[in-house]
Amino acid sequence: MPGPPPRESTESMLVSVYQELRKLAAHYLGEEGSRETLQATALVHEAYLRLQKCDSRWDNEGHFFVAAATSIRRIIVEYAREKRTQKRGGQVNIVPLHEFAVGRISDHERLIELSDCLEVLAVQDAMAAKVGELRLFCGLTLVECAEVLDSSVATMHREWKFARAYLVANLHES
Amino acid sequence: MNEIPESRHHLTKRIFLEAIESGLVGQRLADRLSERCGSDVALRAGVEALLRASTVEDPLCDLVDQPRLGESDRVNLAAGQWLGSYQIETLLGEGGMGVVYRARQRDPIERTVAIKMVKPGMDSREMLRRFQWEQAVLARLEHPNIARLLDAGQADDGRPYFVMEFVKGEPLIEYCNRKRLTIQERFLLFGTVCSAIRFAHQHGVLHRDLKPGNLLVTDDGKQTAAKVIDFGIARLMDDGGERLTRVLRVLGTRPYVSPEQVSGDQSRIDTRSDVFSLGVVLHELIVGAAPDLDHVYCSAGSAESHSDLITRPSKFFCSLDDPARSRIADDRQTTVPVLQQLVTGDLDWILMKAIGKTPAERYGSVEALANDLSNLTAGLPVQARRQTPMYLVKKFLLRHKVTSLLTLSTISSVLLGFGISLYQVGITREAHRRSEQLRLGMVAAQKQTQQIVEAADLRLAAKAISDGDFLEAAEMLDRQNEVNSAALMNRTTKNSLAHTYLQKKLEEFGRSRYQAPLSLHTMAYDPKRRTIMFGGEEGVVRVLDLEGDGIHELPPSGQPSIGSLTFSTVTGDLFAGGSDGSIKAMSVVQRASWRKICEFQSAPLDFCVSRNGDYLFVCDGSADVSVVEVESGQVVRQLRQHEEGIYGISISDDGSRIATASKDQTSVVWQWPEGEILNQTSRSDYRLVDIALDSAGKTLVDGSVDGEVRLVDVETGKSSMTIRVPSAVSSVDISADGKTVVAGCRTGMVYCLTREDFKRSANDKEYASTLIGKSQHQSHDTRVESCLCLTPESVFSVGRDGRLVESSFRSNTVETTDLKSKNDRIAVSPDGDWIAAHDYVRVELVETATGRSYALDAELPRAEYAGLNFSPQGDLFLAAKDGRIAQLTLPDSEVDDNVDETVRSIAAAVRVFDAPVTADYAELRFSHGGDRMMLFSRKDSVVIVVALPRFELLFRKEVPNAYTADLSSSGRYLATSHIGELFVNEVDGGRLLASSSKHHSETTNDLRFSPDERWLYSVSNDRRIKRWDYRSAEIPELVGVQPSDLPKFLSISRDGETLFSSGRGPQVWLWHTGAMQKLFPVMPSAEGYFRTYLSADDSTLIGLDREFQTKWIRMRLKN
Repeated sequence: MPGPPPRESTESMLVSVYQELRKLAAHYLGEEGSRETLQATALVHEAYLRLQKCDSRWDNEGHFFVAAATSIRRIIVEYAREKRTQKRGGQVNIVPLHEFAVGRISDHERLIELSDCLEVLAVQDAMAAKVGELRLFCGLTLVECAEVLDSSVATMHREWKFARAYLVANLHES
Repeated sequence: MNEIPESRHHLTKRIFLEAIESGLVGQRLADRLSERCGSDVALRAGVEALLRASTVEDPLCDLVDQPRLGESDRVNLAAGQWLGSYQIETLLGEGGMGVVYRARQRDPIERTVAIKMVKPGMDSREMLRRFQWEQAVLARLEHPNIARLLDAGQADDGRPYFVMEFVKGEPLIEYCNRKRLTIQERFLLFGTVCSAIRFAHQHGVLHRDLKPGNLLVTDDGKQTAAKVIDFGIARLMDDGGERLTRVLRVLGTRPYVSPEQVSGDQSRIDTRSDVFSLGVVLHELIVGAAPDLDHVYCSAGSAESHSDLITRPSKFFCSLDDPARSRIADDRQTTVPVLQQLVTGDLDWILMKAIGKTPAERYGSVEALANDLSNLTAGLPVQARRQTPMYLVKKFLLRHKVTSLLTLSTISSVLLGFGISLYQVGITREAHRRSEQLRLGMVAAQKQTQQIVEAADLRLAAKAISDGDFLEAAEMLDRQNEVNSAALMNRTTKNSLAHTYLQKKLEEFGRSRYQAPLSLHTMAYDPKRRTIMFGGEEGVVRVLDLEGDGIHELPPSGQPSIGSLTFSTVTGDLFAGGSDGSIKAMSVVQRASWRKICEFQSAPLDFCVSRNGDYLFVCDGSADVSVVEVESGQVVRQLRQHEEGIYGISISDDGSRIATASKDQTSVVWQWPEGEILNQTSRSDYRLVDIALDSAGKTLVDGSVDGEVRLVDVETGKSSMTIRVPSAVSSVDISADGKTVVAGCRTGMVYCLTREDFKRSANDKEYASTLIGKSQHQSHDTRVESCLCLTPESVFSVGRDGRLVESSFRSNTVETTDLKSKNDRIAVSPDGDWIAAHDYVRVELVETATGRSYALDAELPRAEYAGLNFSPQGDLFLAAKDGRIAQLTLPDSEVDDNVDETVRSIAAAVRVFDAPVTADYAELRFSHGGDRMMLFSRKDSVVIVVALPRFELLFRKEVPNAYTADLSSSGRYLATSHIGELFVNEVDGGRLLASSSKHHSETTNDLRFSPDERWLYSVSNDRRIKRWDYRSAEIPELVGVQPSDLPKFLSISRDGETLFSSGRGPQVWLWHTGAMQKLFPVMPSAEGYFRTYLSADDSTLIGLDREFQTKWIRMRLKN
């Protein structure tokens, strides 16, 4: 008889959040076609409720939001890549980002770069990258970031200041 | 990309942040950088690049900092747009959960309203449901200081919105500061807020989200008034209670929520949670900022006392810096020392008590808080302060529990030591008593609310059942189960009839046959279809006996988790695929032990077995089917055609056809043993996940992750028909006859589709659009792992939620029979087993269990018959038009001696009586004990009551223009009507007890006493259903208005809680008598009913419809 399921690693937690969000995003943007834009915060809420309903592992929202931010970023970049290659021909018009209708951002190239930059930053400075990700892809405020990452608002402020400068500097150069 | 070496990264970051935070510019900045970077040019360049970047605008990175207002124009509504009957005027603001607009309502009245639009992603359906059931409560909140919640709806994109009274005001704290209100004036304003909250509490409504933004002040120059907005919204948005509250904790509005709300413990939230929020607001009103509550929230679970965690307001004020303090004092038209002095002392205590960590530490009610504030203003002792020394005394006593022989004098001296006189203790008690009374009042209001909520829950459950959402329905019913089992309702029986009925209906549609602790993956039925084997993550195979109901375990296979199960048709061997890659077999009949057949590198995704059990066809995730010889366990062959991994495989009953579904988006049908391809389907749009063949191997069904379910003719491979279900399919099956398809989805939904459905929806778009809703069952919480279709009435599914569910998709619970002749007289036996009817000359009996009808073999008086009814003892009374009454004693249904099946007749003993008053009696009713009978004749306008068994006349009354009469359960009261006028007479003595002259505006059609005789229910052609407390002679109350037809007949359940009304409309409506609300309809009939009756044991509802068909349904399971 097998014992209880082993505690999953962060990566596997990420996978389930990612799948959930991906599914939701596809649901709202895809076949229904009813929504042109998607608010990431709403998406995250819904994913959280769904996951938490069937899995107590998500009792810690901090972990969840961190995983969600990464997932959203991946989803957005996927959509952007898709858009760029035009594989599915105009099925998805809008790239969803956080609170704001990012439909106006037509520059999919830059979105993908932004994501790449974050990945590079993450290698050197995990904290700054996390804050950047939570801010840009999950739409969290600094106060919320502090909550999620269990840190102070002041620290978040500094990390964001740096992350933003880092990203802008690197984006502009490329 | 600019690669900064790791070691230098943090150096760069440090210098950059330091430079930014120093605020230096120009040459001084350059100097600083030179100092920090020295001769390291690259480092300096890096920092400078970052500094430049931090001043450059970037559309992408700055999105997050842009004001949210107006920016989200794609999501927000523009002025002039319509939302239902409201025209948007302007955006007022945006909060955590949504945006608020000012809008104009044109119809039915012209007014300005505020519309709160909830952000997408919230569960709008649930939210609107909540609104529906809270509406009745919220509508009662009519108070000058409360902004009313007027309406709710759903925008085109599905987002719910709430319509509120528009308040042109300013948030409380901003107003007070702008107007520089003194502390005294602030108290006054705060007092009006308290009175509004208190009013709501008395009506059983908590606000749950009190914060300065929800407390607005309107000031028209002459009058200043505080208005509380968003009442009840928090609860509506509190989706799923606990769950969202915890998310809100991250994104929500601290510090105004109470610790018990933060901890998500719904059961602990009461009036004192609102007291807490008010306390925080008051704190801010007085000392200029909300208290620092972080420690309180963090230690929500600990036993630490609040006084150790919260800084006293006076100390808090003291700790602020000088400019802040003088600004705060100035805003209050006072000086720092005066304010400091004011806060120190009683106000400290009041605030500390209001924001106590646990509800018990706080004021018992808002009134108590308000009282203390007025005590403070009046210079009287405050309750908060008095109690604290008591608390210390208690603590003192607790601390010295060992020496529990404390004398009274010791206690007195302790009390005196704290300067408390007995007089003051008295005041405390009085205040305590008053707040306790208030709380009790709240409990009473809640009880009342409870019934309204119950009615709404039942309504919603009925709706959910008709939507196929059984989990939701079960949740609703369970919720009421819990409430009912709590002593609150003080019922004699546990659940109301309406509740029992829904529960029964739910069970008929689908029932959980087993609940495993871990996820279930697979199912298989044995070749004889007598048992279903199922297994999953536990690694145990269980057997469900379809004929009995038992479940037993097979001996363990030793596999850690079981992923697939299949049977060999001929040998009856069961094969199990495990997560360790092994496939094992056992003979279920012989109960031999498991033997290992073969082992793969990875767990087989799916497999099937040849008819005679020689070969296994295994999909191990690769693009080929591995054919394993069972005897040797060796892979002897590969079936190769697919380009990508195979996910599902199925075999026909004769073993000659095998079908596979693959990630390459095609399905292939193979011939066995040739191994040749018979057909390959066209490419689906998405990858296929499962496949099934009917027993003849002529039809295959496959499902894709895109929700596509295809029905393919195997012979031609062509005529494929597709139905798209709304979510990713995870499992499909087809019934043996190939006529019914089931698809289980990742959402936990199971769809049941017929071949006919496929054909019709191919040509008829409209049909296709309505099909899905009709054919779905929410059988699982999460992904369905496997499903089996025996018949449409019996579909089994297992899911990740560990449940084995049996669902029925063609459940028709209305029984019906054609009566031989036209008549309009029927009756139901008290046990619901028999329905009696006659065609004026012959009596017919219908057995409800079987639907068979029997003639009556008895010596009946030769006459034309009129009314008939069963007595509580089960005898059938039959009135002839000449005034004779026959009493028939039917055989006990348990003893079938008198039932002659060959001629379909039932023998009965008959006694014939002459009614004391000769008339054509159409309606016969009995007292509960059966000792009295009422006979009513409409034709002869007379009603009599007789004593049984000897038919002695007890009462007689002429009743012109009456359509009905009723006898109360004790037989002591008789109700009659004259058009819209009602009368209640005492049977003994005949005294007129009460009359109600303008009861109904039109003819009264039926009357029913409640079983406890307190109420008299009536229905009339004015469509109204009313009840009347005839003994207190009050005016009647309106229970409801019959939807869409004139109500003609009334029945009532034994407990008096559920009322049935029927008429010419197409169904019978149920009403909740406690909540005085409509529940849901039952027993649909296109033609409407002549009359309906409920059996005395509540088990059976019968009706005679206008096509002269007798219909009946079971309201609850028979004992």
